[in-house]
Amino acid sequence: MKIYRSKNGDSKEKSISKIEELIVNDLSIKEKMDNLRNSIQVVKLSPNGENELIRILLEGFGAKIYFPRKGDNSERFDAEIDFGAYKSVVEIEIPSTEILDAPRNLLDDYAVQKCRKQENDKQVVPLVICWDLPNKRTDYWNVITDVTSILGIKIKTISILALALHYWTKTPLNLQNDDYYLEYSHCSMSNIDDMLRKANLSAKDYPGYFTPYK
Amino acid sequence: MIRFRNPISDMGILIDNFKKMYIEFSNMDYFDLDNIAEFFAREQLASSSGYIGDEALKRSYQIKDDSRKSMKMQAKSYAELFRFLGWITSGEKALYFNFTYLGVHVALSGDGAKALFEQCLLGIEYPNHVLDVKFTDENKPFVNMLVFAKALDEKIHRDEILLGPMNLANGYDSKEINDKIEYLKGIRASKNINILENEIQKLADTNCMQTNSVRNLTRFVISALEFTGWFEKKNMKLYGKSAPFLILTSKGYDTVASIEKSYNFRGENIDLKKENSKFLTDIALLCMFRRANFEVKKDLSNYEEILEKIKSETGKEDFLFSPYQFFSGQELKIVLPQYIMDIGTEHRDFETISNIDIHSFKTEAIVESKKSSLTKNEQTSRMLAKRLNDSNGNTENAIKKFVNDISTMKQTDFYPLIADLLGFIFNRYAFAPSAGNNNMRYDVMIPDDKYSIPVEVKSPTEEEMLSAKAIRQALENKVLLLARKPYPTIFDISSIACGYKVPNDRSDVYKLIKEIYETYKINISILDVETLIKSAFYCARTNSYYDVAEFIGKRGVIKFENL
Repeated sequence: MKIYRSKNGDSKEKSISKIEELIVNDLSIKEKMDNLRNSIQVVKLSPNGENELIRILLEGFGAKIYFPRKGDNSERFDAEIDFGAYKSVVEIEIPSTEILDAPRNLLDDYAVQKCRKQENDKQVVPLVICWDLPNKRTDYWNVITDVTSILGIKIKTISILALALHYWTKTPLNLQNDDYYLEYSHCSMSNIDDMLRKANLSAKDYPGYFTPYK
Repeated sequence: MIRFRNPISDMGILIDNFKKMYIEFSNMDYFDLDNIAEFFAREQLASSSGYIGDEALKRSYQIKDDSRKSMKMQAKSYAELFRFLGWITSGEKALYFNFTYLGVHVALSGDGAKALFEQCLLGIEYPNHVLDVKFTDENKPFVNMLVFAKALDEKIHRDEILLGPMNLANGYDSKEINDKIEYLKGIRASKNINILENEIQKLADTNCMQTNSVRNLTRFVISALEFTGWFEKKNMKLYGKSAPFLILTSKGYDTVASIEKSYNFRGENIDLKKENSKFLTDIALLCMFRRANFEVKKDLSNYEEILEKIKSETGKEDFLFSPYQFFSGQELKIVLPQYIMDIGTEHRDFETISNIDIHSFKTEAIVESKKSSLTKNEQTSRMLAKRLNDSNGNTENAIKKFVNDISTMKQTDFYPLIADLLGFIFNRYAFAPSAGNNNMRYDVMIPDDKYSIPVEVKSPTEEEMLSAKAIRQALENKVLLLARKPYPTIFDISSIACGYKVPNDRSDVYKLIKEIYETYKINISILDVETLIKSAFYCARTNSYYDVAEFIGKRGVIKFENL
């Protein structure tokens, strides 16, 4: 049976989306970082932009990502990621204005994940993916600490820029350890320094993205 | 009026799911709705009652009635979409499916699938021999959507799509098309959104539907039109106030141009008994592939003479007709025998065995009262006495009137009232935290030396029935209270959410309360205003109160004993 060949796939001008361009481009790491940092509008103005961005980044780590279907009230999480060895339920906060709601939403998502999805033995990591980190004095950090002390659950927090840095520097992402367990007494992503150093960058150049702005 | 089902509004995912189905089913003799439902459940492409995977399928299939099995219904609406897109076709039985030659191209062409999807939108035509539909419209709706948009200043509103291109008795009749365009121009000239809404209301009435249901028919349409890049959404004030319009892009403009130079051919005009039916359909298919940028030049050149002839007769150089979206599986075997697909030999029978309880998760927390020797909160006591007096001592009427009075209450009045009533029935001073104290996020505190209870309150203007959101907040309230210890409490005592009404029996809220308990061992109970008011009248009449210690280990809907 003859199957005709599409000429769309191999064309050099193959249209790649604006979102994809933010991640897959020929810029240096510094230029990529600056470009992405200034692109929240591009992300918000593209249909499903934030989901696409997160999908590209996560699939880069070989993870499978699932977004709930629109209109299904029983799927209240923003995304679910399968890393193989463990899973993650995700609240996406882009921009980060409603981030204070994220921990309580995650407690709901986590309970549902544990009870409904037959994942009793697989570790489930609740994760907040945000654009920038909330300030030091917001209650967010206290809530994370309180949740850990009362329920023994560690909610992880990672910014898009940090995810992208992992992607660009081909550094594996591990959400099972405490790399991204940021809480009141420790709310900076310290493991990011190595990656930045390799690219001759410093976290100080990106205030609010790896460590709270103030 | 043309009706489109709407299983999914992201067309990229629609195409992806089709490709996944192809990988899964291409070596089968045929596949049916149960196979699709099972596959969607297994691959977590669809959910049922918040469950995914096997559990979702089991739950969905617990229901005896086929039309209420949600997984099967999702499979059905996907299948319907894939059928009218021409990607799958029915074999011997209407609901035994195989992939078509066109579908295989969608599955195997990588990024080329999107361009083919665009052509398949143009290929949708009614009536056809693919789907039995209840409406009688003769139309290629997507072709007309583009034509209408161009004629209406390169933009079109959702409601205009419904009134115009989705509502043509004969979508090939240029007079009817022009009349409809003039009609829409007339509505637009009014610059009044109410006139447009009236027309939609009339349309809904004619079809015995709700206006919302009518508008829902465009969900697939709108997302498809945006996905193709033919249109971009933009808010415009053409009807007085800002409303979303689809604006024709340059790509959309090019597509209209390509429609205009095409011979818009109808399946009904092809006589299968005639020999020319074979090459006409083949040409149509190859032209479709050509528009989608597939490498068909060589094969299409075999038909050069015929194409020249058509051009000289009609002035049209392209051929707009999609055989896989018009002919039934049986007819395709006659008309395009060269593209009959080899079918696989694998056969899968489907069964799901399960014995699970799909009934409500609703639990109740029964709370007993105690005799009181303490002085009640005087003010609340007087207020209740006055209300009872106003209803001539009839408690039932007093309750009814009270509930009714607060049905429109806003947060600022509702929260203190709930605090007063709770304080009254628990015989103490319950209060809302002072404004601006962000560390105390509960709405009302029932303080105690040992068993303080945080209360999340939702006023009727916030939400009529308590939702999952209130439960989430009640959980957080409890966690923060335990961690920060502004008032003494213990882990096992309930955290309360109080709202105007408790949700319906089948609500996800009950499931969530149960799951929160199973996961964290935290108890959440919910209370509606009517129960609270009843209990307040009861406490006033019998001079009794409720003990907060009763809430140890209680979760679910609060029921006060003796009420």
